[in-house]
Amino acid sequence: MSGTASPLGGLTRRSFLKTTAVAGAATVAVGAAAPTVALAEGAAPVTAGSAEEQVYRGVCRPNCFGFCHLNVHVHDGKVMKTTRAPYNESCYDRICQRGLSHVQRIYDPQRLQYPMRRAEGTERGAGQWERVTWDEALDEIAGKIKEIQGKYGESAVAFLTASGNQAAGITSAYSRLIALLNASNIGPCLDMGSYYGMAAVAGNYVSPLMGMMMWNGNEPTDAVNAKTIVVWGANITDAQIQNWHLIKEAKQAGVKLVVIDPIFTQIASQADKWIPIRPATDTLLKLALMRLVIERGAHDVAYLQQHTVAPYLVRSDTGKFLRRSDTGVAPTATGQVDATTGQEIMLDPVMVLVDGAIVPETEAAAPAIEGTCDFEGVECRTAFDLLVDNIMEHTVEEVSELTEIPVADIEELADIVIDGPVYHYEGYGPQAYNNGGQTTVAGLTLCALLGNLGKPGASYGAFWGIGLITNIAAAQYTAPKGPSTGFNIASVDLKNVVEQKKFQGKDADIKMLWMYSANPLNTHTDTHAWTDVIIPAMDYVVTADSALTDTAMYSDMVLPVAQWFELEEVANAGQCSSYNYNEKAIEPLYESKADPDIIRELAGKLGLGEFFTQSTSEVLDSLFSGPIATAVGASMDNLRDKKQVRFIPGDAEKKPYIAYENGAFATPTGRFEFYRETPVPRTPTTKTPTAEQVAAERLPHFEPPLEAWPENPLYEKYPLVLMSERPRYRVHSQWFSTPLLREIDPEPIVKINPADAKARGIADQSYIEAYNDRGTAVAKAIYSEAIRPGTLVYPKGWQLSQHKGGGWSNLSSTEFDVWIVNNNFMDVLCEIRPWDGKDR
Amino acid sequence: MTHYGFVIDSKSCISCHSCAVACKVENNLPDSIWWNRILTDGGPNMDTPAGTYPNLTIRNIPMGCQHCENPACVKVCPVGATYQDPETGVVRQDYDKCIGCRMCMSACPYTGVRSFNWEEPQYAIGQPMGSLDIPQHQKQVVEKCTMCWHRLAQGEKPACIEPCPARIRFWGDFDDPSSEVSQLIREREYMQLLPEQGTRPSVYYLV
Repeated sequence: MSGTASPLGGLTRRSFLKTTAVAGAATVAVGAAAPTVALAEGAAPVTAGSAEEQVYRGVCRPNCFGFCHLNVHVHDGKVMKTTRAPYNESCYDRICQRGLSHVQRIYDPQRLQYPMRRAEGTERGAGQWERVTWDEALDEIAGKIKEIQGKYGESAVAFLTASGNQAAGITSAYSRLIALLNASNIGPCLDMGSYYGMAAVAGNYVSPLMGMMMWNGNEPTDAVNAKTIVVWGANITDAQIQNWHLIKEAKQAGVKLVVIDPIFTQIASQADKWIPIRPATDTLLKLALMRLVIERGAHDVAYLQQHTVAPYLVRSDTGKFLRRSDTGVAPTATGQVDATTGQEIMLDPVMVLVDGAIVPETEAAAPAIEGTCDFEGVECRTAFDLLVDNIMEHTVEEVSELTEIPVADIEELADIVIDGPVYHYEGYGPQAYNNGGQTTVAGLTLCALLGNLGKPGASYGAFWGIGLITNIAAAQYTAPKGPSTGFNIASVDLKNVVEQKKFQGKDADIKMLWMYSANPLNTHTDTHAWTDVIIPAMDYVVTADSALTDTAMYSDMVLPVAQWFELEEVANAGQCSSYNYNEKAIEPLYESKADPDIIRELAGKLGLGEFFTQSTSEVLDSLFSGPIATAVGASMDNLRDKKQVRFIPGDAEKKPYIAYENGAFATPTGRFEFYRETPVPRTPTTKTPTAEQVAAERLPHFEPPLEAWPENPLYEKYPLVLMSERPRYRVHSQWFSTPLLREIDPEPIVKINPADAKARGIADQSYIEAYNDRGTAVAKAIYSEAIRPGTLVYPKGWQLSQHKGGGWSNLSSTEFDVWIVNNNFMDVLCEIRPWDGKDR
Repeated sequence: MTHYGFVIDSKSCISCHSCAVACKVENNLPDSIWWNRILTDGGPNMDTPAGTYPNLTIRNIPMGCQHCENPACVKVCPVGATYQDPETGVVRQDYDKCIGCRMCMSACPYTGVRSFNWEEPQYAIGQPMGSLDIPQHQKQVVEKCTMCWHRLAQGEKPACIEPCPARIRFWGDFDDPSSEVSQLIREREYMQLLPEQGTRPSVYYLV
């Protein structure tokens, strides 16, 4: 038995644990309960009257997916504590160790107190600052914006954000300024593999209540309706602990839990079956499961016929579906208008096979899912046959070898997934490699083969949505003079754009970066891309944050912002798929200002004051207004009153949301598209897919990861796969300096299998240096058998200044897959050695 | 009579430390003082499993004062600062009576549940946090879990119960057979810590 580092540790006696009794063996004396009033007499001395305490509704919003409602207890203008607040659906009432520690995050001695300018004559990152007034700071920023836009063009000024403060007021204020300035936007590429895969094959679902499921799946309260929950690389018990009790309750109701993960996580320890898997091979395992489904004839032919592209004929010459127009019949008018294009929808059905005859799908009740035919000399095959070809490319034995999962376990897992309904919960581990988009494509396709979608207990994905009311209302608000003409650049591609000075065929010369609600130098891959290429190419760098993050450290001007409970907001996202109302509990601390107020003041100095005359509350009033907002219950009055308003149908307790109900998919064909005619990158980049890449991307397939693969020659030099975990005591890099959390978790660690450590002469709890050709990181090695031999696991989110040397993101790269355009967080090889005490 | 205590379904504990943090904040615990901790029954380090990959087990045990029915600490306190509340069974510390001899700390078999402020208590942030109703922490006084006495006095549960995201912490009256805690230990297998010490803890761990 062991305790945490220092303050919590110390208990070592084995004798501590002894099972004493079974149920009923120790009986309880019968007696009447004493009324609690009796206690008052002996109560502790009261130091202050609690009558003056005020409780405000706060929303904790670091984007762990939770967006948990908290009570913010305020006394004499100061936050005393945060406690769990009630949801409309009590199954969602929750708080966690981070949500409970806000009082020390708000009053963290390291919190930024006033605007700071990089000291003249010092290098970026040197940490030398001079205090300036807000007027000086905003005058300087306004001057730089004008100067840089005048010299290099409007798009030279770029704004970058992530999800550090995902809320309507802040987002709309920045969006409005960006549009008015025609500035560029640097978009996040964080954990987009699952989103890409889902959107590709199943579409982007928008609910009648105007909620968009960014990561669609049945509501977690539906997991109890499954026979088995299969967790794919989701560290729920550390990273999304708000959902653990729902999984636990399903287990207690008899649902089996299977966890597929290279790491023995806490949830793996709770599983009926843990299947350790080699990193980056989840897609292969899913292909093997599909093979077994086909071989056993377990696929759901009716589902495939009615709800997927299985029966669609694919032309071998173009890779496109054979359509009725190919036969010379012109598309016919439907009389319906496409809401997005404003054009009339034309009917041009795909051709299918019925008893060997090629007929339009509209005339076939039960089209064949298998078959080949000749159409005017062009071979056409059903999409199902093409899928089966891909599935059969890998034998179960080959998959067993590559995934390092015994054949018997793969066979047993096939039994489990066939015996539905199965609630598949996919995390962001499997998508953290260059081949990560396919893991979701393959997982959803496995479920489509089995008809394991759209029903209670049958799901694949996770559950996270955003409300679109603000996007609709904000269309006028955020772009009063039309959308920005600046560039939309993926953050993972920014280094390339800076180096090439070209984007999408145009000259692109980004010269100023303003970063807010984000810490890309820390939480994105490849810190050196930022510190060595991107930042040096900038004439001016601004960071708005409440802490001196890595990103702030490398800035020219740092603006202290209000934290979450210091302004009124609506957080329009989260794992309860609701708008979440956050009251202003206290005034912004020190000289900090709420982001929208900063934008408002800056706009005045830019001559744009006329566009920013409203207070944030007035802006929220107008964003959450109008017939649509009122119709779906998301008017500001209702939000202030109810605090939480769902933007998807159903009720978490009485009628959990079911994804893809009735076989409806928001794809171009309205069917599940395991075969795609025209794969499209998630976002445009400096890369263009080749014809071979397009052909391969049409179907689920496996490609090795970019780096973390034994056939990679680099593997001989760097034989350890550098994995990471979403940390228990931070979210991304937030809470990094919160004192009480640092008592439990004081410094960067890396978990290592003792066999790998001993082979390198590394002692338990000693400092090591991880390194590869890109960089180094120093951390304390922690022996743990939970770690798969050949891998390392580090908890994310330590700032460079908290490492004794280097930093974890120094070791990763900005290489990205052309389709998913994602940070390859774990597609990293490295080696480690005992640390020699030097900071490289 | 009333006999307050805890039932913890430690089988489903994931070591998140929410109970420990809630306790720390509610009771405005000074720096490096924790009344609630999570112990790992597993490998050599916190949160590490026993066994060899991939044959592994791990169990987490949240632990604070066991509020024993037969408390070893009460017997050794020379000044009566450690005492058992006769109405509720809660084992209490009277800070004003405590002379800092730490006899209770050495007598208690549950290492680490008590804390002692050697110096003037230090606080990371420049203001009190948590409840307004807690007594001041004092130098050279032994402290421990009060079962959130100040909350019980207001008819509330201890601060560690509600925030548990795993929903595995229960508090109530073992003398009331209809209470949730009584039902739980009637229906589920449980264990207690160091039963051979004869302390009869008021904390039951479901297994």
